[in-house]
Amino acid sequence: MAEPNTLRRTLLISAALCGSAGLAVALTPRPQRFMDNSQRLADLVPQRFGRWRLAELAPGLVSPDVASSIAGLYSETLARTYIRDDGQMIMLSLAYGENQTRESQIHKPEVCYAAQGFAIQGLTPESVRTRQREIPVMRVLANMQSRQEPITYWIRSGKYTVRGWKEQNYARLVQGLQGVIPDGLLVRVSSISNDTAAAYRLQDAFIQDMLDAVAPDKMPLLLGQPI
Amino acid sequence: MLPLTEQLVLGLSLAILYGPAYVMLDQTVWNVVGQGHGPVMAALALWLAWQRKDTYLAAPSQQAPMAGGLTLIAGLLMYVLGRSQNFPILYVGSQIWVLGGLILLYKGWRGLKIMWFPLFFITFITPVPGPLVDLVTGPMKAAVSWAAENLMYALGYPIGRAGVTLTIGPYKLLVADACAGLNSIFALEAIGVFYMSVMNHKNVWRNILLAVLVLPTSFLSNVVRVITLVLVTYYFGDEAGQGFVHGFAGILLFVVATVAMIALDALMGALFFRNDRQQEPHHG
Repeated sequence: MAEPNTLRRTLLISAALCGSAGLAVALTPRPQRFMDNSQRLADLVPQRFGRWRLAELAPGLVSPDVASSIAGLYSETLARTYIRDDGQMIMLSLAYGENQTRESQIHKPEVCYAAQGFAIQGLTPESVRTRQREIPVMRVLANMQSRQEPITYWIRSGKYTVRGWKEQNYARLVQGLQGVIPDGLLVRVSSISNDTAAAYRLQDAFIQDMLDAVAPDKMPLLLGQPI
Repeated sequence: MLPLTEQLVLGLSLAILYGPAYVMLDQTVWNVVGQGHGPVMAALALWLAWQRKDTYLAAPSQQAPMAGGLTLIAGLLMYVLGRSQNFPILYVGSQIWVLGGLILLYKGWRGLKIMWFPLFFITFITPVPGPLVDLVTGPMKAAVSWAAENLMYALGYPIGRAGVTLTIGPYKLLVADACAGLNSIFALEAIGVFYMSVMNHKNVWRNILLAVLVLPTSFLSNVVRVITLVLVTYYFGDEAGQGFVHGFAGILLFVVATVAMIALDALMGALFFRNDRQQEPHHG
């Protein structure tokens, strides 16, 4: 009881289905990296700059399952503690992920700290004015029992600097529609302090000193344009 | 009925369209601990459709080209966006629209009415986006760790907790997402819905209550799972505990949850719904 025109209609529908599959493949973005394999995070920021030098500390203990999930997520990570000549300390953490698809995009500190059992007490987007440019950052206040850790971070996602899930995902979507899977670098600066305002001032000073010491050709790895 | 060649052409096109989606699911989502239920859900959806096949074919066809065409186009747009921009929820979920559109085009509203339940069941194959999982998982994780800690402390075990990390004797356990995840809630919800469709209760409230009770059931079975994991680790060491996580724990979760659900349903039936006599399932 097939009608005479069903074959034509079926072929038309079939073409629409297969065409959609082809279109989806053609529109799939491809990874674009700002950092190649020869570049190491350790070379991005000098070990000594301004009034800062590396602190000699025992490496922090990370449980093996946490370490393996970090290794799966990031191409390279770097954790350093810097000490200023007046004894102030800053923890710097860099994490590079070569492709920022949804599953493998950089974890925001407000999410990972909470997942480790920290309480997130403050989460405020701000910007840090440096001599080079104004950097959009996120201020995060993490707290576990007596440990109070104010954090300042930004994420470079492809050509943009972002913070928070909205901007991070927006940057991914915008670049995805342009056919690009961006790479990403998390720059996280933190210190242990009960005086939050003073800690953020110290972190801003550290960021300024750090940017002064980064070679101009490496700047696009660290910082993008605001989105 | 559609001529065989056209059936083949349509089947092949659908395979080209969605074959890669299942390869993707098999390689990524279904490999994650706590998501292994995916293929079972796919099989259940197929089985539900198969059950309705004869009724569907016997129904007179009154094609709805306008509604069908629009639904199909909407589905294909979701598909292109979802697949190219990596939104598994759109990529996999578009099946509901694409298949629904095809049913409307070939059979009309009557066909859709027969097939709505298998189509709806595709929801349970669709991966849930991470942020949504985190939103529900966070509090659930904390509550499960809290309950497990207090229960075991009351029983005299040397247990401590910092956030979502449990310490038992010399061992440290992180209550991972998979232990308390929305993934398992989702799967349990699917099993609940499936159970409801098989039981075919007439009383709407009984069905709603059953669907809502999935949440405490999931919580309870997760607590059982975490405590079992902690005990295995405590008595047999870390390696045994990790082996348990990847093997038996998931099955235990489902056994506990399914038994709890059937027990709850029986209890509700005995207490509140005595007049709601079960109908014979209308198929099978």
